[in-house]
Amino acid sequence: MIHRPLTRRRAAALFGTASLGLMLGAPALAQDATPGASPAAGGDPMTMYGPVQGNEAYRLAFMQVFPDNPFWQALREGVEARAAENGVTVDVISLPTNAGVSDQVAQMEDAVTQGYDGIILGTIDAAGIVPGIEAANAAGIPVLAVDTAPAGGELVSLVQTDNIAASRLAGEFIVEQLGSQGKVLNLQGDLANQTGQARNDGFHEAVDAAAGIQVIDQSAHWRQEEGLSITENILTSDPDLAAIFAANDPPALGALQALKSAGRDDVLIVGFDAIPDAVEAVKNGEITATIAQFPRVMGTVGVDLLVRHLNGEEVPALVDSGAMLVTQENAEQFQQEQGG
Amino acid sequence: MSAGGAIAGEARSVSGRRLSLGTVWQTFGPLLSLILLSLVLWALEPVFMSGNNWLNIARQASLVAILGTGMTFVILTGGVDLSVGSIVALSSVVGGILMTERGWSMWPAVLVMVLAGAACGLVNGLIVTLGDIPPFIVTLGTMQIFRGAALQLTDGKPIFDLTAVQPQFDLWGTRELFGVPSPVIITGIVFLVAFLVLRYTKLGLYTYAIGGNEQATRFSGVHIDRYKLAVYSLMGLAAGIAGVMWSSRLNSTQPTVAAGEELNAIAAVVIGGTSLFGGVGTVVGTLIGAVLMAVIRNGLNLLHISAFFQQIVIGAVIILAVLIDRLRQRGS
Amino acid sequence: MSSSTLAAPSAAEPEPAATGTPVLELRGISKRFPGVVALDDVGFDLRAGEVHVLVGENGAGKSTLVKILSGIYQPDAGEILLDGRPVVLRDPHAAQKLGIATVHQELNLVPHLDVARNICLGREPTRGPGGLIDWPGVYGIARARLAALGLGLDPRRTVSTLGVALQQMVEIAKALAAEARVLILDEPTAALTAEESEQLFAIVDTLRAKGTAIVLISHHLEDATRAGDRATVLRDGRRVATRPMADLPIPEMIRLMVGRELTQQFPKADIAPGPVAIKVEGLSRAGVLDGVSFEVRRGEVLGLAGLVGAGRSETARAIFGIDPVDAGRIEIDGQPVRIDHPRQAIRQGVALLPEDRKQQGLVLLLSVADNIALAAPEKLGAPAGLVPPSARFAAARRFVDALRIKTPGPRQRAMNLSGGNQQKIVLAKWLLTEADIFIFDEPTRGIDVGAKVEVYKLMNGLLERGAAIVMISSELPEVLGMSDRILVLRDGRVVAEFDRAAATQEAIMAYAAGGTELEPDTEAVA
Repeated sequence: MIHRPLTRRRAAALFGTASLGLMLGAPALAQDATPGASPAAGGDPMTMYGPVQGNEAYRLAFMQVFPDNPFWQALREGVEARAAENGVTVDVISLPTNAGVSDQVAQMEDAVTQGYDGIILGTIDAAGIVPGIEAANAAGIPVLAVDTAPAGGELVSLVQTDNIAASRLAGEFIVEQLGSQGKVLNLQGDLANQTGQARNDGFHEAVDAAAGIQVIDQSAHWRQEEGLSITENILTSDPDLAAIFAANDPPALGALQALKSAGRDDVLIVGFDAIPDAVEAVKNGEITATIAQFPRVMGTVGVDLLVRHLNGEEVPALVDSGAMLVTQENAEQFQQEQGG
Repeated sequence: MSAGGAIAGEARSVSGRRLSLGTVWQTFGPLLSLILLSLVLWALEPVFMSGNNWLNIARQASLVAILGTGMTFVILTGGVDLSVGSIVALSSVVGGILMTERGWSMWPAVLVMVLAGAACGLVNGLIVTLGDIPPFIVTLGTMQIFRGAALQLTDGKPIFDLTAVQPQFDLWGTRELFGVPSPVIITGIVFLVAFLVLRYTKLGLYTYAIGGNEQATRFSGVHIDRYKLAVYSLMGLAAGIAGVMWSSRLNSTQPTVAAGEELNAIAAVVIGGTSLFGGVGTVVGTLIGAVLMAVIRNGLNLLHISAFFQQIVIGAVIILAVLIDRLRQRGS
Repeated sequence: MSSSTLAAPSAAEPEPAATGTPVLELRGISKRFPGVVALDDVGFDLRAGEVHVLVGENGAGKSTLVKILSGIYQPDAGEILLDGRPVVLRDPHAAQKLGIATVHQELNLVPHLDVARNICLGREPTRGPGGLIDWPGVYGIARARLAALGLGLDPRRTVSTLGVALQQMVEIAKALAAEARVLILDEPTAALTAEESEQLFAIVDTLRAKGTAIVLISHHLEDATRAGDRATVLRDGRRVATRPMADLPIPEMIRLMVGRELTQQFPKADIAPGPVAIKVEGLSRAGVLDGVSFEVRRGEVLGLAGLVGAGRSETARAIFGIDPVDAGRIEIDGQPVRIDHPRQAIRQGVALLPEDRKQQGLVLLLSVADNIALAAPEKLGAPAGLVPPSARFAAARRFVDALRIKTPGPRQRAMNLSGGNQQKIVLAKWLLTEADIFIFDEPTRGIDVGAKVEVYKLMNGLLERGAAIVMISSELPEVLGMSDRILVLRDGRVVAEFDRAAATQEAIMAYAAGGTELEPDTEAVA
C-alpha cells in the first residue's frame, strides 16, 4: 500500500511537491498580498541563502513532528529537496503520533550519539525539548529550529512563520469584513502549545481593538471533530454568530459542515494553514479565507542556514518564512503555484 | 457472612423485585447526575433545553455511546480495549482509500469498513486468549499498531470531501430520518442489539459470568475463549460501525481521528455503573454515561467556558457521578 | 463474682463459678443492625491461660462478637472490661494497643514479602533521625516471635511459598505483638487439614501455657473439644450456655447450637447398588496422579479420603476435564469416553461440586437464577442461544422449591446466601444439566451443622434416583458416615480401600498419613 500509484486527488494532497521554480513565486505572492507578514530580511528567503554549492557532504538530522500533518510533510519535503541540492544527506527522524516530548528528547539524545553534523529541529513542546537541545549543545552539534521556537538552549537560527503577525492578519480581515460589528467564534488550537498561544494572541490583538466585535473562545484542539461539534453547539447558544476563525484548517472544515447542516451560509469562516481542501473550499466560496504559511520555505531555508553555519558563515538568528491570506480572488493562483 | 451483609442483600433483592424498577435503580446514580446537571445548565442557559440542542447532544454522544456499548461487554468480562479509537481510525482510513483511490462504490466500501473493525477486534481477542496476555497490554500494543497502520496506509494525510466521490456516503452521518440524525439512529440500533444480547442470550449470560468469576464459569463447562473472542470481535465491529458513522459525519477520513476516544468510552462505561473488575453493569448505564459526557461538553460550549476549565469540569463530573453511585450503594 | 453480673437471658444456663480473674469481660452486650438483632444481652468472660471456644451456627452472632472484641463494631448496649476496668474499643487500633490481637478468617498477608517483613508490617523498628527502617531489627523481632511460638521457620522465606497452615501461623506471629495478652482466632482451621490443625493447636497450647487468654471460634466442633477449656454456645444472638469443655460432649453442643435434637448426624440411605456408572483406570499425571483406578455403581457413594495434596481433588479435576492427564481411561456406563473440557464431562452426565465453592463453584456476583442456568442454558427450554430471564427465573424457582434454598428470590446474588444455600445452588446447577454422576469435593466445608444434614439428605435423594456419587472429604466422620466404600489416597496413589463396615478413623488416618505402608495382603484392601 505504501507505493500505490498517486491519483490526482492524492497528488493535490501532497502539499508542496511542486518544482522549485513554482515554489519561488509563493513568498513573492506573499509580499504582494500581505505586506504585514512579509519575510523579515526584505529579500526572497528561498534564494537569499542558497542553494549552497561546494560545501562538504554533511550528515544532518531532521526531527519531524506530526508526520501525518500536511504542513510538516511540506516542510519535510523542503528539507529533503534542498538537502539534495546542497549535496548533503539528511535523515528524517519522525516522532510517532502518540509520543510525547520526552520521546523526542530521547530522539535528540540518540541523534547526538549518532554524531550528526547538525540538527534541524521541529518540536511539539517548546519547553520540554530544551534538555534535548542542551544535549546537542554539549556535544557541539549545532541545532537550527523550524516553525516552533524552543524555550531555551542555543540555536544557530530559528526559521518560522510569525504566527502572531499571521493570525493578526486573519483577525484584521474579519474585522474589516464585518464592519467592526458582530459575534466571532475563535476555534483555538491547543493552548498548551506555543503556536496555539501565538495564533490566539495575534487574533485577539486584531479583534480586541474593534469594540463592536464580541469573541467566543473555545478550543478545538486542532481537530475537525471538535470544530464540528463546538460550532453545532455555539450555533444553538449564539444564532447571531457572524464569523468563525479557526487556528488551523480542519476545524474550519468542521465548522463549515455544521453551518451546512444548519442551513447557514451567512457566517464567515477563516482558517489557517491553507491545506489543499481548505483552499478548494475557499475557491468554491464555502470558506471565506485561510492563512497560508510557507512550510517548504522553512525547510529549505533551514537547510541552507545550517549548511552555511557549518561552513563557518554568520547566519541570521531569526528568519520569518512569511504568511499570506488566501481568499477567493487568489485561491486558484495559489493552488497552481502549490500543486502545479 | 455478617448480619449487615445479609441485610444489605435483602434490601437489594426488594429493589430488584420489578425488572424495570431494578434497571432504573441500578442506573440511578448516573441518571441523577444527568438530570441534575441538565437542570443546572437549563437554568444557566435556557436554550440548552431546546429540541435542537438535544439533537446536537445526541449526535455528539453517538461516537462514545457506540464505543461504550462495545466496551461494556469487554469490561463486563473483566477486560478492557484501549485500541478502539485506533480501530475507528483504521476503519475510516480503509473506507476513504477504497472510495477515493480504488473507486469502490459506497455499499461494499462500508461493508469492508465494518468488517475491518471486526477483524481488528478478532485480532485483539486471539492475542488475549491464545497468548494468555492481559487485555490491557494486548490492546495497548494494538492501539499503536492499528493507529500506525492507519497512518501508514494514508502517509498520515487526511482525505477530505468523501461525498465528492460517493455522494451517498452522507447517509451515515449527516442525514436525518423523521427528524432524527442518522448517527443517533445507528447508535440506537447498536444499543438495542447489545441490550437484547446481554439480556436474552447465552453470550450475554456468559459475558457477566466470565467477568464475575472466570474459574467458576470454566468449571461450569463454558468455553471461555470462544466467548472472549466473540466479545472482542463485537467490540471491533462496533468500532467499525463507529468508523463509518464518524467518517460520514466529518465527511473525511483522518488517520488521527478518534484519538483518545477509548478513554472517553471507558469513562462512559464507568460512569454508567459498570465495575472495572467485571461481572456487574448494564449498557443502559453506559448510554447514560455517554450522554452525560456529551451534555457536559455541550453545556460548557454553550456557556463559552474556556478549554482548560472544561477539562477540570469533565474530570470532576466523572468522579462525582461515580461517587453518587457509590453513596447510593452504601445507603441501601 | 462475675456470674451474678452476667444478666443471662432466661434461656441461658447459669454459669458455673469462675476460677481465676477474668482478663476480659463482656457484660450485657447488644448489637442491632437494621431489621436484625445480632447480639442480645450477651455476657462473656475470658481468663488468663485458657482457651475459650465460641460455637454457634452461622448468624448466631459469633462474628459480631469477634468484631466487637477487636474494635470493628461498637456495641449498642453493654460494657467491656479489661482487668476489671471498663474500656472503649473505638477501633481495631485501640483494641491492639490494649493488647487484644485478632487473627481474622481471611489472611491479611502480603504474599510477595517475606515472613519477617509481614510480621513487622506497619510496625517496623526505625533508627536514626531519618526514620530509616532497621532491617536487622525487623529480622530480629521476627525470629524472636517465631521462636516464642516454637516455629523453626526461616524469616526470609517469601510468604507465598508457604502452605496455608504456615501462613496462618505467620499471621498469629504478626498479631502477637509483644504486649498481646488476648488472642482471638476466628476460624483458624477452616482451610487446614486435620494434620495442619494439630500443628496449629500445638502452638495454641504453647501460648496458653504462657498465660495468653485465647478466644477460639470454629465450625469444627472437634476443634472445640481438642483445644478448648471452656465453651460458650451462641444461638440467634443469645448466649445459651457457657460450660467447661468436659461437661459439653459434641452431641450436647449440637443440641444447644441448633436448639433441637439432630436425630442423625449422617442420615445415610441404604440403597442396593446398581450397575457401574463410572470406571476410572490408571489415571496418571506426572507428579500428581499415579495410576488412580476405581469404579462407582449407581446408588453408591465412594468416599475419597486423604491429606490435602494426596491427589483427591486432582483426581476430580482430571475426570472433569479441567486438568490434562498423561494416561488413563474413563468409562461411563461401560462406554469409553474422552473428556478434556468440562463441557464434555457435562455431556456425559458428570457434575463436579468443587471444594472451593466461592472461587470455583459459583459466580458470587451473579444471581441465584443465573448461577443455576450457567452450565446448561440449553436446558431452559428456550430457542438455541437464547436464555430469556423469564425462563431462568422459572427454572430457579423450581430448584429453590425442590432443594429448599433459602433466598428472598431468584434475583438474589449468590454472594448474599449462606454456605449451605450456596452449595444447594451449585447442586441445582448440575441438576439442570441432568447429571447422574456427581463428584462432591468437600461438600459441607464451612456449612452449618443443620445445613450439613440437608446436604446429606439431598445426596440420598440423588442416590435414590440412580445417581453415582464420589465424595471427597477431609472430615473423617463425614467420610465414614456417608460412604459405602472408602478409598484412601496418598501421593497420587490409591493406598487402601475400605468397606463402610470395616473402616475406622484410625485406620484411614494411618494410611493417609503414611504411617502404615500398604501391604498387598492387608485385610483392609478389598
